[in-house]
Amino acid sequence: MGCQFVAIRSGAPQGGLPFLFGYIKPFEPQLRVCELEQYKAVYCGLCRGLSRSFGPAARLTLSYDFTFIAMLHAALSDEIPQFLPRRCPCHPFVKRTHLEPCESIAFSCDIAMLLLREKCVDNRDDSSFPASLVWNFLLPAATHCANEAARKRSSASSLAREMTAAQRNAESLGDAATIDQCCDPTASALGGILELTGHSDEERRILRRLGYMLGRYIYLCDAVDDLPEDLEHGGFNPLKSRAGREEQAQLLRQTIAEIGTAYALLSPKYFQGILDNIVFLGLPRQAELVLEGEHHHE
Amino acid sequence: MNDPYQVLGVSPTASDEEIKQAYRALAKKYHPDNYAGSPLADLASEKMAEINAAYDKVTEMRKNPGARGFYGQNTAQSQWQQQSQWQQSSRSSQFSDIRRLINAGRIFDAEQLLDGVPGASRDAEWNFLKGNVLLAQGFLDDAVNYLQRAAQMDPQNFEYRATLDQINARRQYGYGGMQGGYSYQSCNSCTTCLCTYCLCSSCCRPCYY
Repeated sequence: MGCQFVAIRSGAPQGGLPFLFGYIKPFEPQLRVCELEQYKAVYCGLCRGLSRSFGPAARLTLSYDFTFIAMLHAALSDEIPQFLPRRCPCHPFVKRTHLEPCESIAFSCDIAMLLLREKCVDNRDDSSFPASLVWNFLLPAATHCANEAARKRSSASSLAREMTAAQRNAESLGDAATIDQCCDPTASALGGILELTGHSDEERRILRRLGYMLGRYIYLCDAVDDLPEDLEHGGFNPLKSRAGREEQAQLLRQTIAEIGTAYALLSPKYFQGILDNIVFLGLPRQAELVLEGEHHHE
Repeated sequence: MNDPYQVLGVSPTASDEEIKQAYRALAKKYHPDNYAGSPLADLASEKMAEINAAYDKVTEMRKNPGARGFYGQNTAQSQWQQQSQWQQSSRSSQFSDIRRLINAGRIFDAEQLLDGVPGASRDAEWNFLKGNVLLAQGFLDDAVNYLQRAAQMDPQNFEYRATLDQINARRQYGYGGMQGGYSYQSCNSCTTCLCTYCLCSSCCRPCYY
């Protein structure tokens, strides 16, 4: 699918922050051909946006989660999405359709950078010697980009900072922390971030709930994904007491159901088919893959 | 008011059967059961009322093609109005003020009041309300424990049991509970036959010879 950039994966055996992985994806076989084209165009547009705003290396942080955020933003805004065929350094020979730079892409890129810095800080502190060097090396660049982004989006920046602090608190409780407490920092942060894209009080309420549940879903998926490794190396994982597959499946299904009910109240102006597909088919599908332990291999 | 056809997502030339189908799909989507414990329940019931009004207007307009339909007392609307779960059983509640706070969306105030209740008076209803507050905050897993305790302490109470059942259905079946949520056009039997035919005829001699 599109540019095959693999999202940055942490080598840390600790709980940590779960962003930039791509658990929010469409179920492609059920997308129409034109919808798939549009989805790819947003993906490519985002890649280009990252490069334009934060330099070519920022392309490496591209992920499906931020494609979804950009699409949701675009779907709710009044700006009409414009598409153009363009060449890009990753595909120099064939032109690909790109979503033209717009507020939605700028928003999603900025959020990606803000979360990237938190991820770097978190991983640097959590990793052992060789891996921590890598994160130490990345941190100045990430901080530079995040500061750039924070200038425009101070509230999102403080949300990201709060998330890291709250995550530390929850993890310091060790095995006493409940699953809900561990999910809460990520969930609240994404809830707050999506809330920023709302245009009315009603819409902001819906987006807050939607974001909260999406954050919870991402955190849970990541925890399920990391569980075998954490059990082996003794890392922190809130699901250690829930190693049964069915128990994990129930948690994920309940969260996905809440995402669906919140999303159903929104009225997207664009991309409705793709967003419906992601929420009602893509998320359950990804959850299945994660539970089967196949997400890494895809 | 919006165009009722637009609200139902059908074209004005759609058949009665298509309109009924669209209405049923929407009614299932925004059914109060789906929003049990959700802080967005009020928005869902507004949406439900809008859909009901639109459906009534369309049926009215089709019955008397000359008349411009208007919103009055009508069947679908009255059918759904009684769904608010809180009104049903708040008669004999010792926590009616807390229920009012939850209804008004003041979840944190409700939680503070609940946490202030001494251990001895934490009865089934207290557990039920605590469960609802946690659901609204997004603490879905802890909420289940409280709802279960409420249903155990007072097994006769319909309200506690119904909420617990809805949450369990979501844990079991995901979005939309037991009836299944999202439907998409999968292959019907004709398409399947056609596909099979194409596949078969691509590797062996087609059977119409």
